[in-house]
Amino acid sequence: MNDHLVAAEHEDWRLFLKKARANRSFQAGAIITLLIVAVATISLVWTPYDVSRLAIPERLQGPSGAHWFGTDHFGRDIVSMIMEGSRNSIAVALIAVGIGMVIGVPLGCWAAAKRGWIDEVFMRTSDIIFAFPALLSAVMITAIFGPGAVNAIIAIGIFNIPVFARVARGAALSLWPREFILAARASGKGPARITAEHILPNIANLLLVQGTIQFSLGILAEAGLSYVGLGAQPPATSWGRMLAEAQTMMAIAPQMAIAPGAAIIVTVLGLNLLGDGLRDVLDPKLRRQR
Amino acid sequence: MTAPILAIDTLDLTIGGAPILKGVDMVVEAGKVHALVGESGSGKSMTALTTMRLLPHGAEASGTLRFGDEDLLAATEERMCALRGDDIGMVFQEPMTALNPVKTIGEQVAEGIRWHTGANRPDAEERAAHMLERVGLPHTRFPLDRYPHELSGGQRQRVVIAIACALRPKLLIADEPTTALDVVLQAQILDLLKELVSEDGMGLILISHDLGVVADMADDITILRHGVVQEAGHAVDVLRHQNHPYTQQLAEASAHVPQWQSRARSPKDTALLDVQNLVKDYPGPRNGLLARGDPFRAVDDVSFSVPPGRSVGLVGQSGCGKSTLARIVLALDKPTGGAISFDGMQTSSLNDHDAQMALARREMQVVFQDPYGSFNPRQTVERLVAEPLHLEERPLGRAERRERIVFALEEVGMPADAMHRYPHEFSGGQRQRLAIARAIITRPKLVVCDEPVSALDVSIRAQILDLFAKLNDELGLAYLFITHDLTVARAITHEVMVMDHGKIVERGATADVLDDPQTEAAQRLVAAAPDLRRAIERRVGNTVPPSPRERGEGAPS
Repeated sequence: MNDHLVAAEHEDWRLFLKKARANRSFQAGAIITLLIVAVATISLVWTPYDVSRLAIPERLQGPSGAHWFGTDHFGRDIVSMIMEGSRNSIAVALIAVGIGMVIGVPLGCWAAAKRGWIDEVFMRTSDIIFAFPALLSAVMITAIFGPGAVNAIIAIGIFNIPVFARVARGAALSLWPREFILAARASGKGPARITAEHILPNIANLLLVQGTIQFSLGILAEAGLSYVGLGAQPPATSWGRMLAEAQTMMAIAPQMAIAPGAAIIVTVLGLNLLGDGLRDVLDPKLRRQR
Repeated sequence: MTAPILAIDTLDLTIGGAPILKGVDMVVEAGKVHALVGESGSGKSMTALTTMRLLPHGAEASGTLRFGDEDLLAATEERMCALRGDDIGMVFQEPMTALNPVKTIGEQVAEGIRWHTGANRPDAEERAAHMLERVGLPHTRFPLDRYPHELSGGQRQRVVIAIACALRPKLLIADEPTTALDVVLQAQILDLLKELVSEDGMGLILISHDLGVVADMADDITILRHGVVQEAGHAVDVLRHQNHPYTQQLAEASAHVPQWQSRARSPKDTALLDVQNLVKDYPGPRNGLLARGDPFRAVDDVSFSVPPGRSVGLVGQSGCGKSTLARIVLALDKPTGGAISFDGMQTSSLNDHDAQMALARREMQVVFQDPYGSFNPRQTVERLVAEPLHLEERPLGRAERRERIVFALEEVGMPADAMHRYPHEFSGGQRQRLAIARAIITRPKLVVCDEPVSALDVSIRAQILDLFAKLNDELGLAYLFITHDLTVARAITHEVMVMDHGKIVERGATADVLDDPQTEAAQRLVAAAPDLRRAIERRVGNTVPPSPRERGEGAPS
């Protein structure tokens, strides 16, 4: 009997690998994401050039063998800056999404399970948060606590909470009247257990997709905050900060904007592919296909 | 004999290479009802969709579909757009989803008129009003600016029919038009269709799995199985003589009465479930910021009891409060007033956290109607069937747990290796078996069944009814069996209660109540219930179809 069980689990894992191998977008997404994580990790110990050293004579060079994407107005190597900046950008966006999910999803699920005044209070509160332009409130937060990457994370994270709460609540609400939830209630399971066992697995794909969207918005929000000087502080850099600095140089050194822009696009694309692919690979309904 | 409206000749259909229809022939004549009968997967809906040329991607059809003097399979898409909704109308099964919720009923009926005839808005709306009047929705009571959600299911189906018939099509296709409705509404909608057919002289293809309905309605019949015509001909002859083995098999399944040893057993004196003066109010619609309308009383002073091992039926039209009552009995909803005691416990006053509640839940399980919606699609059968096991006082070991699951699966006739698979890998009937396995895994004393067979094909329905009978015999389970299908109530219940507008209006031994109903509500149900044998007798003795009045039709739903 137990052999049977082990065999079944083994089978599940093999099926997962088989489907992952067959799913192109999952593979592409995973490869891109792994590459970016690798680049960010390598930048901790090594970059082609030292980004804190200014080399004014070499400023605003075009792409060449020595500097693949050229140099900026201080003569810093753009490849090295992208590598350095990836850490800040990814960390800010990822942690902000994490804050939103960890706080927002339980709140949304709770509101959907309880309904009544708890639900009303949550939803009206999130209406109020939505009513403030995110950047304005981020300015407020950073004005109180001072500028910096950590405060940017908190500011962006706070605005992710109602987003995830709403997605989770809406999807959970449509599941609660379903018969399999009724059957679980008839089996005496409480709201918390039903949410964990039945609601969350069924809304996970929505949350995954929302997560990749919020991640790209997070990178953009960090760029916005850095642009007004409230994000990562010099000499630290981020992709958003690089974009902001490139703005005045657009006409004479377009590579300064193109490189961080491309980095953002590739990262978001990779995560989107990964999210889509994961959703398909994990969906049991698609298990026997392909 | 006039030329047929639609002549289907050796129609073959493949979807993605898989053969769906094989050499189907069928002729529909003007002013006649042609029934297309078969179980799910037999290709009856696909025949209709081929006629409309609304096939899914990857479908390839060959043969001829002669409509008037053109071949529909050869017609251009542009020509088909002109035909659809004008000369060929279609009525779908589910009135809840066949209407656009953000458009008024007047707009939706007028839309097709304006599109096909180029009429201006006032003219089209006048015709729409006239059409809605014909389907029994006079604009004095149902103004054109009503929205679908303001109408009941039966009324919505009337709107769908009005849309399909607005331009007096030559051919109307009705795909299970009454399957989602209760028997009384079903009889009304069928009468309406019959009236329209005889008044407008159109041909009607009636797709149905219900031989009782077909025997009552159809002039001609085609019986399909696995995409092959089994038998075709004059409906009454085919159904009366039942020459073809498959026709016979369908007829037997639809009147199936399971072998049930405890059928004649007399009840014990004790009550397993005892419901006293139960009342459930739902708050009325919000009229203002703080004001609310009068509350709606869904269950009104209901008292009854279920003895151990007894099967009690609860029948009534949709919306009469049967499902609300079931949910309160299962303690999924709190009653407004009254008391429920189950197995000596006052479940109506217990809270979800009470230890006694877990005990009560273990003894009382549920099987729902929809075999697709009652399982979490992301869990394996093993976890799904084992769901109620956490109610056991002591946690079960892994091996013991599996033993219980295998045992429950065996009892409902499913193989043990089903537990590693996901619910979507099973057919409707198999899923319903799994739902029953989940319900019996804790060895309960009472199972509440909310329309457990109404979504199933007749032959599968017969098997599931056999299973219910077997479990009652072997495990002594008591059932509270909710259904609107009187054939099912007859097959599997000892006693039956008739519910109407929240009240129980009649009760007694099943045969007594259904053979000789006393109250108006019960008579209405019995009169409307389709019955193969009675319908054939009526039509053989009297070839004129009964008028709506003879069937006791009142005002439109």
